[in-house]
Amino acid sequence: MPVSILMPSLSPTMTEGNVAKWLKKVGDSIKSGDIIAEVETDKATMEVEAIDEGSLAKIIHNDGAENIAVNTLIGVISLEGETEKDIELFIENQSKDKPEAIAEEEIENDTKLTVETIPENNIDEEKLNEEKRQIAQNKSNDIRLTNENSYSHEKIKLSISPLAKRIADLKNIDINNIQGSGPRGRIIKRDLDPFIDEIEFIDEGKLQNKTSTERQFSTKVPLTNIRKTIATRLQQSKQTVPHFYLKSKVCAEEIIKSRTIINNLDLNEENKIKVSYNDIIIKAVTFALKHVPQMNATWNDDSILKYSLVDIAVAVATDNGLFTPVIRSACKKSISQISTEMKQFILKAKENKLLPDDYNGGTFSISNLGMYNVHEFSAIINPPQSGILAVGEIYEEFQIVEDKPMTVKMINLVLSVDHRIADGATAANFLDKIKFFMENPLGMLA
Amino acid sequence: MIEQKYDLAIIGSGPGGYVAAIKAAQINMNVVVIEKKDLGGICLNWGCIPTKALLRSSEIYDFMKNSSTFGLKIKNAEPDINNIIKRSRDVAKKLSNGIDFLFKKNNINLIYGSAKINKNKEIEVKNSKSIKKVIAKNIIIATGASPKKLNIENNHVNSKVWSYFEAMAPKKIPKTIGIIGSGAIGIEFASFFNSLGSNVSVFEMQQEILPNEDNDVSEFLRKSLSKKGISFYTNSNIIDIKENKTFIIKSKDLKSGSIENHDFENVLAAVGIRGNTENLGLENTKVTIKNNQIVTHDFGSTDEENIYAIGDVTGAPWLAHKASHEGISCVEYIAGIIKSREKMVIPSCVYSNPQVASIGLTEKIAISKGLNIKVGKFPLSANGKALSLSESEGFVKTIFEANTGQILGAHLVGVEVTELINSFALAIKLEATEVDIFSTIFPHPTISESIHESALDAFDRAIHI
Repeated sequence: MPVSILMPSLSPTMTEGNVAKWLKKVGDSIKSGDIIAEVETDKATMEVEAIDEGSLAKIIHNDGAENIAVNTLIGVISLEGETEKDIELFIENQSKDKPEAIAEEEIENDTKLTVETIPENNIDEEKLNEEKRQIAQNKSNDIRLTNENSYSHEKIKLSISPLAKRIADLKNIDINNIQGSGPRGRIIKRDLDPFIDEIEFIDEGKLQNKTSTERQFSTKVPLTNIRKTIATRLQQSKQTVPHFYLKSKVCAEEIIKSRTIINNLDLNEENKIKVSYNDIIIKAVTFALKHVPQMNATWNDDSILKYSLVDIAVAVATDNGLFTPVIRSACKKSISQISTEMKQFILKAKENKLLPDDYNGGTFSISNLGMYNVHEFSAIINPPQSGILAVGEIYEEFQIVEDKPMTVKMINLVLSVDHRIADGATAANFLDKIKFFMENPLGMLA
Repeated sequence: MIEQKYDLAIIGSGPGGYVAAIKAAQINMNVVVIEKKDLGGICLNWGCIPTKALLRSSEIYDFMKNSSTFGLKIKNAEPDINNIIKRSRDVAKKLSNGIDFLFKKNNINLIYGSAKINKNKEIEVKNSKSIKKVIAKNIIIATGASPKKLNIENNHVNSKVWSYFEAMAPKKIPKTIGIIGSGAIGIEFASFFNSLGSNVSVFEMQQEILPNEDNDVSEFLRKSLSKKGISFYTNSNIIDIKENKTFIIKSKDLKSGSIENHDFENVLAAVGIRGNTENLGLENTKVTIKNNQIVTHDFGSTDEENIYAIGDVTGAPWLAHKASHEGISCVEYIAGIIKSREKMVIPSCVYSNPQVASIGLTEKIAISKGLNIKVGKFPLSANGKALSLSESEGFVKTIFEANTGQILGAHLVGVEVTELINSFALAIKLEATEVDIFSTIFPHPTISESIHESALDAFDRAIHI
């Protein structure tokens, strides 16, 4: 029997993914361990790896295909001796499995049928369900993902109107998290309204009294999953998290000195350390969080969760979007360990290969735009974290030091805090501690 | 004065009030209805129902006149207006009695008399015999509306110009009748009197007859009724009506400016209706009245706490089914059963010959909203059932949103289309898309197959055209 290649599910909430790239062409032979394709999810690009030997018989969804439901057939591998006809038959059976445009969708794992009045269909469906079971079994044997993949077999029962379903499909809205307001909890169009910009359905060419050209654009860029995630999360944050901001100027002389010392260490020629200012700032923030544990917390709607370990998320900008990998237990790691980990994260982020484990969690974030010559900025909190520190460039200013005018290197910090978690005084104390450890790195030895 | 206490008092027993009362009784409210005149209101007594009875007579008379088409010979068929009206009144009476029965069955208290709300939000009910005081936790005003009078300067004849009350029970069939206004009421009476042999002229200020309908519908109906002998004067303003032995209508063409005189035996003013907001003591409350309508918010709530208003007294569209629907949701709201408001999509019907039925957006409005639409149209001349009935006049027009397949509107003209529009009401309510209509099996041979074909046509897939 041919082997199906399905859109993988990486998390229980993932419902759709995009085919980023096929690495094999139709007809290519496939060996166990070969990477067949790359699949883009809402956060990362995953590789689909084969166990079986055979050849790629058919690509159903090509490079760039978007919004493909989890467990949809995206390609087929034929085993030795299997003909084109076998493949066709196999695909046909698979597609029967998933009828499109179901008005009242009831997805249940329970395969027992309750329809008794239509005996013919009964038999057909029983057969189909038998096949479904087989496929489900094969699925786990045939294709393994480089990341341990969890198929969601939870029992889902969804009721949605045909129009709402169509709009959800068109607009790529995840209906699993929507509470229906129609009869018996049915999801109807108005339940999706908060997700839809009415303008999208308006055909501008047909708008009457079109007077100006202000709405014209040159290109329309479809949103990647990453872009969508950033948009939803940050919009939600700005709208629901009560931010307040504290500013501080920090003398950078000591960080600069420390960095030079660390980077000139000649302990081990092969493992020569090159740490960045940011790595030192991460460590300083870690210490500050240790001293102000109220800030090492996340918002949990009806409670505040506090943590003993310090997990810090660090914003990494790539062409594909913003990522925030998390340095776990940063409090237990040395500056050089943090530095090494950050370098790996940056590399992975640029190649779109960060895994959910790399970016989930964290109690606090750091965003540093100093390298882009940004003097000072305020950042948006990544919920449910307690806050985010926005780090600006290193700049020089005149100060009177011991009665003499001197240039001193400075950094501006802006701390955004979720007021639900901490009040001004706590946050001020926290910012003061960050300043202290940045200006007195030796304090971190204490 | 006798005092009586209730959970809910409803002023008016029309399709808004009586339905609200039954609903309230069903959920165990102690409810009283106050009615000034006829149980069932205008709808049952002087509106929807008796006019449909009249139109049935004219329809059958039309069949008789066209009997040769069906291979039948009927000679000397002629209308007997007295018996036509008697039948219409009997039907109305029967239904009104039916409501009396429903009230008894549901233990609804009924008080005849005029209601007036005082400063303490108590209702004083006055009739020729007594004055009663009704005290209720909540009040629903469902007093309906009355015909608007013509707004003509120096007009001396308004009292002799018919409203629908007089038109519904004429002593004889007028040889000529001028109808001012081409909404549902004007068009239905035009159709009725035309069938019975009157020479009918219809005056409309706007560019098209049935101005609220889709343009295709208005144009089609105008052509169809013109063929039957009705004269239409659109873009026409009535500047004066004089009465000699007959009525002389002086009309001005709003486009050319030319003025014409027309001579009629009777004139019917069907220029709309205005809410019955007077003499209810609303000045004693915070209820806001604007343009003779009670201003309402969600579920009929007014600016005065515990006073609600539903149906025609709250403004257009003036439709019985709207009033009933509002009545039920208002009661459910008072009882705390429903909390979130739904947008109403209200079908509307005109019982001319051919009939008109519509729901949702017209093509013009959909375009003006900037929507990306697909329009389908299927003529009844391509429908087998319509042909077999010799009723091939008309069409089914459907309007869909192009991307989502949402049904935005449906506009039908033809035989019994008023019985077809509910399919669209249901489909829109259930949020069906074009695909759902495509995959529905419509029975053959029926006029309803045209719904299927029209939807298919919108997406260039029609089978029979």
